[in-house]
Amino acid sequence: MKKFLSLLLAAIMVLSMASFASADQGSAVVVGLAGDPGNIGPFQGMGLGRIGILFTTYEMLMVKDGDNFVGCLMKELTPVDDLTYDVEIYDYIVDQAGNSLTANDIKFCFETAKGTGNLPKLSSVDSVEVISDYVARFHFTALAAGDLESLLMECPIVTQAAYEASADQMATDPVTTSPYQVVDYKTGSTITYKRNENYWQKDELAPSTSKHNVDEITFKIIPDPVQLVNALKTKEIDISAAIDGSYISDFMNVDGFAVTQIPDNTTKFLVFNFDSIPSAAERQAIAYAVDVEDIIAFAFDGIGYHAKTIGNTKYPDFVSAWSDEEYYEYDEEKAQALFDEAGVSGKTYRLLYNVADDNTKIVTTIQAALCDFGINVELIGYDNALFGTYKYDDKKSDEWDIMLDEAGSSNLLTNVWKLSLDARDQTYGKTIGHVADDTLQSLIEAAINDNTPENMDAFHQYLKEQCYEYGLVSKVNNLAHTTVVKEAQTCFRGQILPGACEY
Amino acid sequence: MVRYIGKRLLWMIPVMLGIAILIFSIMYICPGDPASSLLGPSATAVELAAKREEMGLNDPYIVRLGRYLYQTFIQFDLGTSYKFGTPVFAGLMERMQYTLVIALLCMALQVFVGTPLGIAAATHHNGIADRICMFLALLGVSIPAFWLALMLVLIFAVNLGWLPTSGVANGLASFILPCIANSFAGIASQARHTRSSMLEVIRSDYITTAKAKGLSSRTVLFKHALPNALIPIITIVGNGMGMMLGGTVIIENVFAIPGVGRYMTDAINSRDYPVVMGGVLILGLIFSLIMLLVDIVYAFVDPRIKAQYEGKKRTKKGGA
Amino acid sequence: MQKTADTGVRNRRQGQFGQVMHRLRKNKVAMVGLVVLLLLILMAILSPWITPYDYAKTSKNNRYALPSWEHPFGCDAMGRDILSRIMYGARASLWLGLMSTLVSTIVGVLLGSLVGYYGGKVDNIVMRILDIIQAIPGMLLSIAISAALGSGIGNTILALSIGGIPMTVRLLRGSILTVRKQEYIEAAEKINCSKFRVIMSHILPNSIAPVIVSVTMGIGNTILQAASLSYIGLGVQPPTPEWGAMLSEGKSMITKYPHLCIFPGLAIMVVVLCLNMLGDGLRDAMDPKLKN
Repeated sequence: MKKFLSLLLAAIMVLSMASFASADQGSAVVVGLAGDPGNIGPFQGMGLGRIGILFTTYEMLMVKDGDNFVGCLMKELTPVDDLTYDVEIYDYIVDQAGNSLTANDIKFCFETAKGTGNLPKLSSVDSVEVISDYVARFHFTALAAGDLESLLMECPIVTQAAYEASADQMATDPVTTSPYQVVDYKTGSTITYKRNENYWQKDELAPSTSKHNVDEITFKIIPDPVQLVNALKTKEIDISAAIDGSYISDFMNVDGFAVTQIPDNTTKFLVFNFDSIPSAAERQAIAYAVDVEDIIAFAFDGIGYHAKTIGNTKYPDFVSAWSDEEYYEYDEEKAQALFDEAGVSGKTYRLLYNVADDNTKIVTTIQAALCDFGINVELIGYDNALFGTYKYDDKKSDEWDIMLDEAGSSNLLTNVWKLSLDARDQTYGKTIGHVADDTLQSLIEAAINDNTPENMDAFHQYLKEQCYEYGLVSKVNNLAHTTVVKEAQTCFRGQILPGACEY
Repeated sequence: MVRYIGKRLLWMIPVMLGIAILIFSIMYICPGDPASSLLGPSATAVELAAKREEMGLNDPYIVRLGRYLYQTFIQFDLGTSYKFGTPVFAGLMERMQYTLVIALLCMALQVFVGTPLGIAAATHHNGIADRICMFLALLGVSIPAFWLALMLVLIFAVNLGWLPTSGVANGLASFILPCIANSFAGIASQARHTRSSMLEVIRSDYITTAKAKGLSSRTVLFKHALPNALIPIITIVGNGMGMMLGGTVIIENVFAIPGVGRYMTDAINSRDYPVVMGGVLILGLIFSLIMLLVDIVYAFVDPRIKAQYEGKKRTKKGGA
Repeated sequence: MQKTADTGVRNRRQGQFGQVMHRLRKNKVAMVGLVVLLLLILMAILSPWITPYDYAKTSKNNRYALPSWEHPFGCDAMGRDILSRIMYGARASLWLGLMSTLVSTIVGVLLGSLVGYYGGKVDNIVMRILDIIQAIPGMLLSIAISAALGSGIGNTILALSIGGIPMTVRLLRGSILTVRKQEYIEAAEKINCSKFRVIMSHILPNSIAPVIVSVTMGIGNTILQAASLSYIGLGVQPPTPEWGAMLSEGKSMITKYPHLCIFPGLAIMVVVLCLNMLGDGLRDAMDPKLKN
């Protein structure tokens, strides 16, 4: 296990070191996508298909380069006070139509994006004030740890002139400051980009998301997993981050192909419904009874690792000591003892899950594991839209006892936690698992406001002890590519950055 | 006949209204949240609730229904897709070009391969040709389309490299495998139905009479038997055409074809209300028109049916 | 008076039914179909006691195991014995497939004969209602049924059968239109046969053939469809096996481990085959032109 972790870390390091030299050939790359991006306009919500093309299409004020946030359009960030920051942008930015980008455009983009309600995080941007041509002053209503960077990365920036010139709010033909311009979009099928020869930024200043090592990029949408594999085998696509784990061996150590494994930023975890499982011993017993190594073997073909909290080790505020801690490793005796303590026998739990991808195998493994303790698990699987309803609707909460959930964030572990554990983010003032625990709430608020290792640890330990939620598996993305791509490069969400790959 | 067609066309107005109200009500009672697929997995419950409010999804049923009917039938506006940001009608028509190609090709295969197979089976009833045809037909209806599709890809694209695995970038070549995979079941059912109704007709008295008159078996077959066996075949073709224009989700998914079926299924799964409601309305209209066409073709094939369409009118006149 | 007329009809019908059965029994192919189908049903009923392994028992060592003496059909992604899962899965698949086909056929035949016989206004109104229903995607209709009526086997059958009704009605209506004005129907009406009797003993036997063909071929599709319903609160939930779901689970592994798909596919095929053999025989037996 440890060996595997260290291998992963090494892989990440190699990846972040690579891709500085920029090759220049009349080259093209085809990227296989499993999800359909739909509307590729700038101010859309972060739907699942969209993250695959986001950084190729747009530039933001800041981006995440490897593990660090760096300026992209932004040259300088100057604090004015706690909730006010001055953002200075480069003074030579031009978009693909030749419009210069100024502070007015920054103001325009943030206000328009906020107006659409599609990027809800922007509600903490109170206003943007134009100070000079290239300086915009941001007034925030509140800033928790890590919020500043993620807010400046949240909103794609385009010039007002280009946006207003588009007939469909850039839904199909965005004109941006990125080194790649959309030249053809067949909705539901392909998006083709050509390199913008007049890209504004100097090579040495461009972050990885703005590299442009290839002349032409085509994203091909292939929803069927087997066909994605076939397309790679026939080299109709050069690279894909969505190859099913069980097919990875077809490309590993095979001539003409290479595989890179990169940790995903999402983690699968169990949420216990406090209304039906109020006993901590009972929740702990379930955590002990589930063998996560089994889940990894059955659902992920052995590729993945046991989470140590609700979130993976990649986040900067992950406390490294947790990696060596005991975290409900499978223990039959402890589980049985705790079940006995809680007086549980012959009970039936209803396990709610989203039928997408590997979840059916995960819940079946859990079901089989609990069966060994004489406990029945009734599976309630829903498609994506219905799962959302059951997850968030207070009225439906009496229809499940345990829920398999998944979460990740672009920057901090606290942002993973808050999705399900901060009562302020739910419509009914309790956590998703219906816990109304003042200690838990004060600890998470402390961690969100100031994510020091002490605050993080305090919350983590309390959550672990109460076992309101239990982290299962941190996923790993399998990136397979032909040797046309020498070195693959991905963004922090595990999506391919075709411009930054080496050819 | 013209009067009958006119009456049927007028009937389309209440049918369209009925479809609109029904689909709206179904979308209203169907659980599932369009906001969550718009904002993605990192949105919190509070943010989702705010988005729903903004989208007007929390308004009462009657207000939303009124708004929808006004927009659709008075302003002739089907709305804009949540997911694609483009008008529903334009989006649907863009997808329709691929679906139309597949539907027409498949229908052609179904009619021109399935019908002769069925006739051959019927004329050689219980012979070896019959057995082979029927075995193929049974295979056709019981092999799942995705299985056949993936096997074809494996042979002709991955191993032989003759055709692309998926996509629509290679012109007609892109449609060969999808059409074969998709029409197999259609050919099978066409052959089965043709055989069955041919057998039915061949046993009729007038065929025996025609044979007894000493007509060649070819003349008997094509002049007397086939026209009378056509009614169920027309029903199958009409229904099949109507269904296929609604898209074939499995084939479109496997071959990554951006057709109507995927457009609609994605919309249903992400609760893209404008696309679902607009798409159902347009496809419903197309379907109704095809069904009307089927009824007209009935009348041409069988004069007795034509008499029934017009019969009502005559009795009314007589009564008055 | 009413009573005697009724019994008269019933006796005649039983007589006719007896004749049909007699002729069916003589058809060897149809009998083979019937016997195999009955054996499958028997297997489904007895499956809790006769499966070689527990259908839900997972095993890390047997993942994707190929067919062998121990596991004749191999094992699936969770290391579960495929033979046992197919045997047990026959319960859900056969029940759902046969029942929903039966329901949609009965409703479809009732509506179809009504529409075909009376024509005119009845025809117009019923067919337009069908136009409306057929415009709604089946998946949405099923979600709505699940949301409005809740889960459960009855609602699953309802959801599965609704899709088959319009086709049955259209087929029957089409062929009734051709026989409706034939001399023997008019003759039957002239001698004051009750409408019920005209439909049952004169119109239906002469026009039911396309319906039988379409229904017997449709069952495979119905079994496959049942798999997609488990995602919307209907159908069967894992680990309870069901053939359609087994196929769709195996789908992503089809090129690597084809046995995951082949055996459940074969099971569906056998059912379709048997039903078709039986259907053919039934059609021949019901055909009045073949009366000896």
